[in-house]
Amino acid sequence: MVMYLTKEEEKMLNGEYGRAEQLAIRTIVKVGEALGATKLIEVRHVHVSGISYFNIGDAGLEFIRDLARYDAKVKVFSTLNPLAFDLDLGVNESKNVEFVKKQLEIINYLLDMGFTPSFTCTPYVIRRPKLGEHLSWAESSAVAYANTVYGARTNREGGPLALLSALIGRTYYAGVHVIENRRPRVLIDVKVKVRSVGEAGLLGYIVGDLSKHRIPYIRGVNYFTNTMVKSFCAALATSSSLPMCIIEGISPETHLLDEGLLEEKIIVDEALIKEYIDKLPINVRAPNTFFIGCPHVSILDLEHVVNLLMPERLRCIVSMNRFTYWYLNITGIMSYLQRKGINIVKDTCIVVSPYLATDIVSNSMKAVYYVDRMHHKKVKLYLQ
Amino acid sequence: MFIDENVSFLGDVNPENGLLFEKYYLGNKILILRSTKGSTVGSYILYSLKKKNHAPLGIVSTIPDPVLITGCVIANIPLLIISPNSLNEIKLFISKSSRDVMGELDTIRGMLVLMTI
Repeated sequence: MVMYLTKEEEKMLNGEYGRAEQLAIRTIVKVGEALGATKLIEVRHVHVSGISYFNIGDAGLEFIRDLARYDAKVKVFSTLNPLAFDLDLGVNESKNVEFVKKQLEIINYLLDMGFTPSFTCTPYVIRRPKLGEHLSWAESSAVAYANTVYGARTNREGGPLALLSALIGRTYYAGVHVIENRRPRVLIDVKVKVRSVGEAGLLGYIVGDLSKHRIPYIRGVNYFTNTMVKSFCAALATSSSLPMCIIEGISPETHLLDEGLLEEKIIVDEALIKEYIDKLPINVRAPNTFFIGCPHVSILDLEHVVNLLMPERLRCIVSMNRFTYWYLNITGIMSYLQRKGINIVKDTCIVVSPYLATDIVSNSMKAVYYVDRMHHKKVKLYLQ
Repeated sequence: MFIDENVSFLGDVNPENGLLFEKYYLGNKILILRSTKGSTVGSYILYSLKKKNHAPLGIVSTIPDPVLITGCVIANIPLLIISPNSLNEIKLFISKSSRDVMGELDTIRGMLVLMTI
């Protein structure tokens, strides 16, 4: 496959705009060619994952440091995922000098490049994506949400690819940027009532697991709050490599359904749900902390937070983006929550922070999955 | 190494010791996977494996996952995407073979050559 490049892009490739842009476009062209792209497209918003030193380690730090030394600068509005601790609170430095130093080094390089210090996995709260607009986003839960709920177009990019995309304001034209590739291939008929955020996440996990790489069209979900859709999308992206799904009643692109293209129809009933509850390691007793905030809690999710507070009189951690945090401060809700003993954190979350990692009960399927896999802690999915 | 599973590099692979599922060492092998899933941080895990000399010599998978492709491009690991049918044939070949199977990835022609030794 040969990639067609504009004169401007040729100049980038030849290094006329510096080494950072050259490295960026070279990598994006290579990845694009592997996916059958014949051109690059401009994007309106880049969102980068993999900025927690806990996740990317020294190799990731070196990758970002090299770009910073080549004087990399973002060319388009670009936001960042959570890091390993609350940037304003920090952590007990005496114990973790090396770790904190390296995490801050990563953040400083990225801010020097011009990234917006959003530190959230919910970039759609900061800039609402538009129907049909091209984005280059990493963070699988946000990608699923942007495509599914807004009908914006982004592949589920790897963290470093999104970072490189920011430096040239472009990505490759393949995958779900192409409308034909957005058409559903599996029909999911939901025959169960979904009543909670936890159940929505479990359903998302099951749909992702059964659909795998084929875009699912989901029918029969009649009660889905904003928070439930977020949880559903995050879990869908955990069990699959899917960048999106189409949900009847929610997604703006239900017209993309072409019955002739469907390869399979799957019915989700009580028996199937039970099978997954028994099979997944999501019901281990002895959690000591209730965790809410994967994906990050935003203002629209607050009713869920207040409803869920300390259902089993546990210690409670709620993670959120900075904007929600400041909103809570201004409105006085923050002090109410803190008086109840709730630990509110911003900029980070339990998945990317070794400091928060503990046995949890959570309403987030994605969180229980990764806390089990990455921190080897006991987890329980809260379904009520 | 043949892994008939859907793997998330973040979570399933430890870049410090190069182990998949905490038991299969990935270094100096051709890794044949059913497919990949999960976090977009996975690309960095492949890059870390390379930097720590635990990277596989090549990867074969059935799904052209952008996270996997990006990881392979920045870590300079050859990647071959094959059809699920071809993967099933490889599985059959390996399961029927009583001796060890050696693989070679022909990056010029985009071919995986398997032989018993």
